[in-house]
Amino acid sequence: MKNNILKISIYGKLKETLAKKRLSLNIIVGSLIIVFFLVISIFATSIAPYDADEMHYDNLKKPPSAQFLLGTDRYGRDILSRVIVGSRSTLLMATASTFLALIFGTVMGAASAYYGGRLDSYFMRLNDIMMSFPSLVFAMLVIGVLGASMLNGIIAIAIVYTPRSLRVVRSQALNIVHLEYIDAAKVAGESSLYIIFKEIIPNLWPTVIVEGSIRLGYAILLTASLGYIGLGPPPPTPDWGLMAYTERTYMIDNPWPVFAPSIAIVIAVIGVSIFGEGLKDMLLSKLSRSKGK
Amino acid sequence: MNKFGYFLIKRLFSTVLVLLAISVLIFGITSLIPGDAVDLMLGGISLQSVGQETVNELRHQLGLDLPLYHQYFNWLVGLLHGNLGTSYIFHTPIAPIISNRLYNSLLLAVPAVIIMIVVGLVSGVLSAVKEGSKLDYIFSFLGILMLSIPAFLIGTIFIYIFAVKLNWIPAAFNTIDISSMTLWESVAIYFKILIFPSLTIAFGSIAYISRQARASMIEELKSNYVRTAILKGVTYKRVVWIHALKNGLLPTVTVIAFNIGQVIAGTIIVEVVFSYPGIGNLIVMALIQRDIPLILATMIVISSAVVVSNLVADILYSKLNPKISYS
Repeated sequence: MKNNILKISIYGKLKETLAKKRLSLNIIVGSLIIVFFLVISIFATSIAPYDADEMHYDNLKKPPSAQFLLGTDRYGRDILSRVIVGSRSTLLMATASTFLALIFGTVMGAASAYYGGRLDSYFMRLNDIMMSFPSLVFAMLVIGVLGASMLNGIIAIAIVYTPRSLRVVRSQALNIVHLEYIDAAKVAGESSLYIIFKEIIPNLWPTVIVEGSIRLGYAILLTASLGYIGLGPPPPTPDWGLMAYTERTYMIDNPWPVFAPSIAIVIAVIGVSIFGEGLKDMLLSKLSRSKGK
Repeated sequence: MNKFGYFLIKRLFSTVLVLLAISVLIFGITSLIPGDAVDLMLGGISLQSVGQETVNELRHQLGLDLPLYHQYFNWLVGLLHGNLGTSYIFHTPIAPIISNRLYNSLLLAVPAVIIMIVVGLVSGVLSAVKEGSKLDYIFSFLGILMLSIPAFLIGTIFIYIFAVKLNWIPAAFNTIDISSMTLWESVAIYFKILIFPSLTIAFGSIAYISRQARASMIEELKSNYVRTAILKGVTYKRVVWIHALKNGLLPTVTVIAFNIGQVIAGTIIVEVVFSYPGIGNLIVMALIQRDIPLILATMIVISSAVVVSNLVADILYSKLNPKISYS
């Protein structure tokens, strides 16, 4: 049972937007920044001028120079190389956890809206309880149990963000489950799983994508914060948050080991958030608020 | 009023239920930590030198050989009596540590909330009044920037400028002991030093409130009663800041309550940045050292703070909005 009338294809929307030249500055700048970081993290080891863990013992805590563009840290490691390679840890953790949270949130949110009743109220109660923790605190608790590592960080952030995605997806799915084509699918004898995965979820894509891109910005900040308080990947991993913490005692000699990774975080978050805002205006235009946003 | 009383009781009851559920969740998750208190106390000492019997004895004393639900019940009863157990890293009862640290943290967080509300509301209202103007765009750009900067960067910038470069404040605050100070001394030290971590905490949440205030104020300023008031000759300032803000505040209250969680998260980070002896640093230490009773205690305190602030926001919201039906 295919019903394409209500299907909102992202590809179609994109084409339409391009044709109308409605592609906002947000999306252009945002995607440029995202592509920039994507390229950097993929080719990190070839771009980085030095090995990120190589210690130059005769150049400890050096300010920026021609040899070391952003200076060196207390072990004489090149900061620029560490920031470049560190993009992998931070961005991978943020992206993977957002992705997992979106998958679980979407499936559970769609199921919750479709089945309603007891399942829905269980999910919502559990959601309320989990969301009464600030996301950082709950992620800290999960990592405290599992131990600090990159994988556990991904799991923790995914657990924290699943209820938040679930809530957004569910509220959108509630608008869909009462539409005629869902009833038609039911009458045609389609299974519940088929309806959830083939009829409901495909129509939630705009919501899911916008939620994902906004969520990713928060995830980068959360990953960095966890790294900063020592609950991210353990040293000597070149993690942005961890670098900002461990090098702060030596700021008097060279503040760049602290500021360079922090600025990288800010740029990445800005890129992702304005991209998300742009997507929101484009895909969910009827929901977007007045001009100037 | 009767209806309101009913609403209040219902809301209080559900808050107690949520708190109970949270305590179960925290206890359940924490019990998954590999190794128990006895393992932690033994530390590096080998099992042979102590003897299995001593270990069993110790477990029995601490009630760790009981089934989990029984342990939970014991813990909950202790909690309700204000007995939070003994910390394994400090070797002292937890309740006094927590109350001490909580006081320190509140000294940062409460002014942060005030700063956040005042700055957020004022900037939001100003950009709503001047919607589409240069000022609006500047505020909107600043808002994106503020939401994208991690709290630890703001704190680090403060430390770099005011501690490293200007030498106004110490680079680490762990030597500051507020609990032994009189009220006036703590106020003095607040404005001299602690205002920086407070500003850092407020920084991250201002933009949320500003955005919400702007959006609801734009709605309000378009409404008929605003036009009527202006036509009746009420000054524009008064219309904006008294008439419209009173209604525009409603949705903003919810956002403020939501941001209490943000403020708590911010406080944790900021305390780590400034090495400040508050509850945030305590929770990080407890988690890294796996001090289970301390983890349980700090987590329950923090989540209760969020739940209670949500309750207060709900009550405030229903008080502000006479239209709301208490259902």
